[in-house]
Amino acid sequence: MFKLLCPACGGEVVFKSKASIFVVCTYCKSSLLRQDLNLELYGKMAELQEDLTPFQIGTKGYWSKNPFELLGRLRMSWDDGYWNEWYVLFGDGQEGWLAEAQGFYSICLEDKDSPILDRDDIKVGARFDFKDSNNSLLDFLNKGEYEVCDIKEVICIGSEGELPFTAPKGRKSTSIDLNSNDGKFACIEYHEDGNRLFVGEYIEFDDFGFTNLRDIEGW
Amino acid sequence: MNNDINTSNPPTRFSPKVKALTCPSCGAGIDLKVPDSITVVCGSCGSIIDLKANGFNIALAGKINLSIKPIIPLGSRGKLKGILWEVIGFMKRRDPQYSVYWDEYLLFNPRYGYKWLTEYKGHWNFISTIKLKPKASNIVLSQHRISVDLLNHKYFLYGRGLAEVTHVLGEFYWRVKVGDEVQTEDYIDPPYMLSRETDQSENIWSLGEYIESEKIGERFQVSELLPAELGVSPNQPSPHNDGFTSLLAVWAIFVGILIFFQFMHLSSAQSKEVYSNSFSLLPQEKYNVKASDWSATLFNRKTFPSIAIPSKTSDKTNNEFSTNSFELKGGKSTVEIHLSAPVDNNGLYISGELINEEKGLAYPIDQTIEYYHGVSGGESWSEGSNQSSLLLSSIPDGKYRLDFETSTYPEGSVISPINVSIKRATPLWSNFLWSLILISLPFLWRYSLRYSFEVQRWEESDFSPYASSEE
Repeated sequence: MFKLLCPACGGEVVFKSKASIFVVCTYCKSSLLRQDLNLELYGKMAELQEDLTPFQIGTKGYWSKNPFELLGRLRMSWDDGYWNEWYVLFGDGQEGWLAEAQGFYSICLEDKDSPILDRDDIKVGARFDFKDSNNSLLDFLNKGEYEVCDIKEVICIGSEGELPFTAPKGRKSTSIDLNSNDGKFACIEYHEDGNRLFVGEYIEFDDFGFTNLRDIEGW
Repeated sequence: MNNDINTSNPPTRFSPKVKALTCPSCGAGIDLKVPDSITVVCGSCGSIIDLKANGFNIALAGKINLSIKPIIPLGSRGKLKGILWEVIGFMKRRDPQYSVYWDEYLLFNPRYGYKWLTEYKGHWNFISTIKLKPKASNIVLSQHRISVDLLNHKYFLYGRGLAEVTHVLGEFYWRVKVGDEVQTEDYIDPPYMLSRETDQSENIWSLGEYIESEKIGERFQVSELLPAELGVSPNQPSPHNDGFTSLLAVWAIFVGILIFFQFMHLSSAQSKEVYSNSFSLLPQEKYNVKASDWSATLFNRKTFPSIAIPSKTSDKTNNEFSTNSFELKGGKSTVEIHLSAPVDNNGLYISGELINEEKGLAYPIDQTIEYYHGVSGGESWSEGSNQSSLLLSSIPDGKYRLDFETSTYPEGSVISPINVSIKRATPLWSNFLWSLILISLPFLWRYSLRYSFEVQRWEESDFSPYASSEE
C-alpha cells in the first residue's frame, strides 16, 4: 500500500495494488493516471448512480479460502441492462475481478497464457475447450467445455476506486460470457487496447463470507 | 458494519432509496424500486416504459389495462428460504395453444438478486434462474421418457409449450412486452422442476421448487384468499411418499419373516403315511407276495411274463410288484417313498413308477439299496445302508399305486423282504396366504394411493409414464 496526493485537490489517494494505474479521487472525483509515483489528472468522473449494490470499496471476502478485498469498480452498461465489475486484490497479491449482475456473482482471474479465441469464431451457443491452457494457477478450470452464453457490446458508464487500466466513462468493449455446465465461468473482453481472457466460477453470495458490506437503505 | 440484511421482522413500512421518474405518457411520478430496472409499468396510466431505449432514453413500449390486480400486491415483502424478498413485478402469461394462463411474480433482494413465484391452479413454485446447464441423460428409457441430469438429479420431461406475456405490472430487469413469446420445456423431479425458456437469442434454464399455498399467504401476509389448489401439479410432492419407503421396508421384513416360517413349516410339516407293506423276494420263479397284493402280482406276471424265460430268471432274483391303490390328499405336495431291505454285502436295485390311476400319469423312480462291510488292513469298514428314500415333489391329489421291479446283486443274492412305506407331506398354505394378505393390505392401500396420485400428476402431460399406449 502506498499513498499519493491528488494533483487536483491535494487529497490523499491510497493505492493497495501495485498494478493500479487509474484511480478516482474520493474527494474531488477527479480521475487520475499513475506513472510510478507520479499522478496526472486525466478527467472528471461523475458520481455513480445509486444501484443497490451490496458492495463498496473495502468489502472483503474469500474465494476458496483465499481472502480478497474490493479496490475499485467499473459500472457497465449494455443494451439490456447494467452490471458491476469489481477489481479485486487477493491476500497473495493476485488480482482478479468479481462480477455482480442481477444477484449472480462470478469471480475470476486473468488467464494471461491461454490463446484468446478469434472474435469471428464466437457465436452464442458455440462450445470451446480450454484444455490447452498452460496456466498452472488455473488448473482446476482446465477441464471441460465452455459454451458461449452471450455477446455484449459494453460501455463503461463510470468507475470508482483504483483500477489496473484506464477506465474513463465511455470506454467501449465487447464482452463475451462463457459457462461450463458445472458452474465454471470464463469471460473474454475484446478491447482496442488488447484482448483479455478471464476464468473463474459462479459462487453463491453466502459462500463468499463477505464482510464490510454496504448498508442498503430500506433493506 | 451491519453484515446481515435485517430479515428478522419484515417491516411493514420501509423507505428504500428509490429512483424517481416521470411517466412520459401521463406525467405521473413513478418510483423505481430497483435503479437497474429496464422496464416499468406506470401505475397511473398503464403505460409500459422502456427505461433504456437506444442507450439511456425513456420510451413508451405499450399500454396495459390496469384492472387486473395481482393477488400478492406489488411492494409486499416476505421471507422464503430464509431470505426477505420484495414483489417488484407481476406478469400474466399463457400458452396460446391451450389457452392455459398462469401468474408470475418477480421477487427482488439486493444481495440475492431476482427470483420468481409462479401460481397455476392454486399451486405455487419458487423459481431461480440458474447458470448451470443441465445435460441430456445418456440413458433414454423410451421415446416418451425424456430426461435431463443436473447435480445428480434426474428430471423427466413433463411438457413442452409456449409462454406468451399477456399482462405486466411493476418493474423488470429486462425488456418486457405484451405478446413476447418463448418456447418452454418443463422437466420434473418433485418437488423440483427444471424449466427451459428459449427464444431466438437466449436459452435460459431455471429451477423451481413447489411451495405450499398456505406458506405464501402467511409469509407475504396476503389479505385476499389465495386460489384453491386444483388437481395435482406437475412437481407437487406426493403426500403418500411420506414414510412410504419405511412402510415398504417393514412390509418386506414381515414378508421375509413369513416366508421363513413357512419354509420352516414346510420342512417340518407332518407327513402322513398313506401306504405301508412288506414284499417278500424269493430266488425262484414263483413269486411270494402278501395275499393282499396277490392279484396285482398275477396281473403283472401276465403282462410281463418273465417266467417264460426261465434261463434268465432262474439264476437271479427278478421280481415285479404292484402296491394296492392308495389315496393322496391335501393338495399338490411332496410324496416320500421309503424303502428298506436286509442287504448284507449285497445290493438291491429297484425301479418303477408311481402311477396316477385316474389320469394315467407316471412318475418314475430308481433306487438302490446296498450295504457292504468287512475288514481290510486290520480295520473294519462299512459302506451304504439298508434303507433309502426318495422325494417326489408336486404330486397332485388322486388315486395312486406304485409298480416296481427289483433285481439283486451279486447274482443269486437273497434279500427279503422289501418294506415299502409311502408318506404324503401335508403342509398348510392357508395360514401363510392369509397372513400375507393381511400384512400386505396397508402396504397395498398406500401403494394404490401413491400410484393414483402419480397418475393424476401426469394427467396433463404428453409424456406420462402411465399413459395407455394409444399410438
